[in-house]
Amino acid sequence: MADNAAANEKHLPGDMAVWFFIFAELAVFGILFIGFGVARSLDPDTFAAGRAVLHPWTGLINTIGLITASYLVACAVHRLRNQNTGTIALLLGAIAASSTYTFGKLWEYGVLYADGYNLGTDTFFMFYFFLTFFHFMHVVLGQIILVVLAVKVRKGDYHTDNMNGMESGASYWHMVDLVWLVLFPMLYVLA
Amino acid sequence: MLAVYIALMVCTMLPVIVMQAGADMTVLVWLVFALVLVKALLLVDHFMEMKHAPWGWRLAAQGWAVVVVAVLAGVHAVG
Repeated sequence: MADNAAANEKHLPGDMAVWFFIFAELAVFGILFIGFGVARSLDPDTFAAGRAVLHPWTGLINTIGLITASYLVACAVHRLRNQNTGTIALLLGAIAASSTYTFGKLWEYGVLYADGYNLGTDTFFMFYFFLTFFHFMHVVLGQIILVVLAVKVRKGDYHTDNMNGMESGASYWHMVDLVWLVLFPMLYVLA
Repeated sequence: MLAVYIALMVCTMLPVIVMQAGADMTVLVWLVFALVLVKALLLVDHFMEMKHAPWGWRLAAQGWAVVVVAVLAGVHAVG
């Protein structure tokens, strides 16, 4: 199995340039998260009041959607590497699963905006809208990348001997999921 | 891979179950910090496949979550 061969040798999944990009993104998110933590410690009452207005069940469903999408993308990489069929279906499944996040987030933005909350409401909502929308844009870009991967797999551009593009796209997608794993509890539980 | 997915789901649901059971908020917060770390390391090693990457790259990917969660936990403890 190609998976076993890959496991026996040290191998960075995807292109090194993509990994530099991923680490740059993680650094930006990390600095913003620490900024959020410091701002919260300076004004805990405002942050607690802001958190109380959010919809934790939407956040939970979003998390389940993104983790499921990541799982499906990881399975798609394995299936392609082992020359099994079903890669495209898994990628389309990942797009569908992650759509629960995009629609859930848009719904929450709509509800909060209708209730009068926006970037200028207070420090908590400035961070909430900025961080989540910044992340939302990454998810949308990730979904576009998954569509491109599905098209290229269909055309036969990726195969066991040429996994670089597939692995690069998958790594970007997992980075988006990794960021949400920290962002969700930070906003919906810890604030 | 399925076992990792199930573990991630359990780690996601656990704080909700604990919260519904009426656990103390302080306990919940530290549980969440611990579970975020576990989830991040599982995702990096298994889904991102960094388990088989050269150690420096793996360390950097795992280190991001460790540093961010440690700083957030530290700020939370001090605040």
